[in-house]
Amino acid sequence: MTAVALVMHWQVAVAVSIGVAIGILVGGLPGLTTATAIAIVLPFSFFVEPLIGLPFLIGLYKGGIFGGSIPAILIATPGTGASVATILDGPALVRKGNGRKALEMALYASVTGDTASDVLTLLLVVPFAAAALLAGPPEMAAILFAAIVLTIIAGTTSWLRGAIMACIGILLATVGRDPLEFGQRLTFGMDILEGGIPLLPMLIGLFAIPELMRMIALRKSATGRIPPPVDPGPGLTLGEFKRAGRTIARSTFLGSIIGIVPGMGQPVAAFSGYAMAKRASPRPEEFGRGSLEGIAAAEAANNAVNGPTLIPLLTLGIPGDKITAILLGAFVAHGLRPGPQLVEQHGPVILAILLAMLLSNLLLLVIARVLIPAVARLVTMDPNLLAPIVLVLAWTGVYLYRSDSSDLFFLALFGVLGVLARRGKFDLAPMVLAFILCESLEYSVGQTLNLARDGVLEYLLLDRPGAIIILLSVSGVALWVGLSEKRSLS
Amino acid sequence: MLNPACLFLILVTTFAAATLAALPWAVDSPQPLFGSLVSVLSPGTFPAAAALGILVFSVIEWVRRSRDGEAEESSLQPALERRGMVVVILLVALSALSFDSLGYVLTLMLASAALAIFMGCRSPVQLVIVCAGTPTLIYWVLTRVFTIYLPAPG
Repeated sequence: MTAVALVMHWQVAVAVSIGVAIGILVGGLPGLTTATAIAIVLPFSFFVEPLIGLPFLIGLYKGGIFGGSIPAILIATPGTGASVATILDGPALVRKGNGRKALEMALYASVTGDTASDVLTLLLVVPFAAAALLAGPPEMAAILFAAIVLTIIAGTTSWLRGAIMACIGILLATVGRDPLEFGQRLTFGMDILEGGIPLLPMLIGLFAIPELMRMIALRKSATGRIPPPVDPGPGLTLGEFKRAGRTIARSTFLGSIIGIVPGMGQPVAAFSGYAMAKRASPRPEEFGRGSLEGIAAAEAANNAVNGPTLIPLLTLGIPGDKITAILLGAFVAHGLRPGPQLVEQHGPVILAILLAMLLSNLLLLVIARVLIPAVARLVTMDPNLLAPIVLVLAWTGVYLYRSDSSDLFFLALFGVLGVLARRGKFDLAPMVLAFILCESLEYSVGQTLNLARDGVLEYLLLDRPGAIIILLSVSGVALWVGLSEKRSLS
Repeated sequence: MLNPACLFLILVTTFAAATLAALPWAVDSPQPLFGSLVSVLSPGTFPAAAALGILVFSVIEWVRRSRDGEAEESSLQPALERRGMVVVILLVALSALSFDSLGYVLTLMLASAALAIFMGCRSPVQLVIVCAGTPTLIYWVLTRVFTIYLPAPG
């Protein structure tokens, strides 16, 4: 009841509404991703209470994931990675004169998938937190290691490149004070490095600078200049929505499961949901040629990831993807350090934030209906105008983090790294995740070694078999994925 | 010419090798507390393991690439992007240097105008609205509504 009382404030609704609206606009702009937008506006949220700042960011997250489907449907350009599967049917429906039906199906499927998965999150977060409390340093170390490995093998196209990026993340995270002895490491006498590499300038550099580069490179291409369809066509009927009911339910379930597993994310959920719907459909030949069911499957699945991805984040401190990695920074900045003790110590606030997620779905339904026509026009916005706005917001976000203009040098450094990584097709997610988890991992490994002074293997085998089981399971999965990749290459 | 993946691998491998070489004097030695060490885990273990990991995985990736003859093309325009990168990095560096003296609004006005002009924006109205309007509006909101300090000129 305390949680309900906490969320029943008009400021929360206003914050969520603004977040959802910005999210839809950002998601709708093909030049700007939701992760970039959250990284940029994150420092702005530090200046308000957690119950306003965090729901604002969550609203932006949800709005952004839905918003990405608008350009995917209208101009065959995904606004976010999550909406890539929507391209398979959206533009075909637009060509048939059913653009409005496609957009409305995307909206209703997104909201249904999101709401159902948020209810599941509310039901699961407390049992997960209780189970997480049983984990000691060896289990925590094993879980953190498993999260990094899973992100490498599940979230990237090449596990080798993912492993390189994760090692870079760990190496960068070790700069500054070591978490066990508090001595200086890899600072080379530079004051700027004493506190370690700042997370936010790094994130904004990694995500915003490559986006700016992309806008510059796209300025002469035709991608942003395709006119949206003039005639939106008729709206979605209740019968059409009902016919997609089973598909939405199936995709929601699948998306929720994928959301709980770190490293998988929305694109995997969207494609899996789409493939599953196609297999189960009595009319599979319609998929890819303008099927409303195809849109429903992809959109319900990718939005169903949003809520459950917060379960490992809140209970274990493990972000499931790039966006939740950035959200982790927001929770920490607001004094809510995600981990096994979070729900025990801040239960009402956490439940209130989860309730605000449900509220954001309701607001998404209303705000999206109003904003869709505006976003349909915005998808063709000239990147010449968008890029300077991104620059101003990114610079401001970096400065606001510590009120230190030297952080702009980190922005430049990580901007170069981000551009090179993107051009070389190295995924940034393992690097960001490893950077964030490294301190906890090193601390847990150190504690485990201290506890097992007489012999690590003996201690783990006899006293903490849980850690061994987690490590063996993740090794098995990694081996299987490695062998499959080798087989597919040969 | 080197493709982006090769360039990235060369850079990270060099960075990892340099870190590994510098580790002996770049990490403070653990100080004993009441005659014994606080932790069994040495402060150099994680950086060394990560640097070694980068080297090993990069070499394997390099071998894989040369064996499979992987050719990767970017869909973007490389020359334009290279020039863009130089401009953006220059803008970041110049902004960092001028932020405290020129102030928030003026620095960002100039930086965003430079970027807009580089991108081909020639309309004075658009330049004023976007490049002067955005930083001024954000400055006003942050300093007046949220009472956050942002550097002023001088």
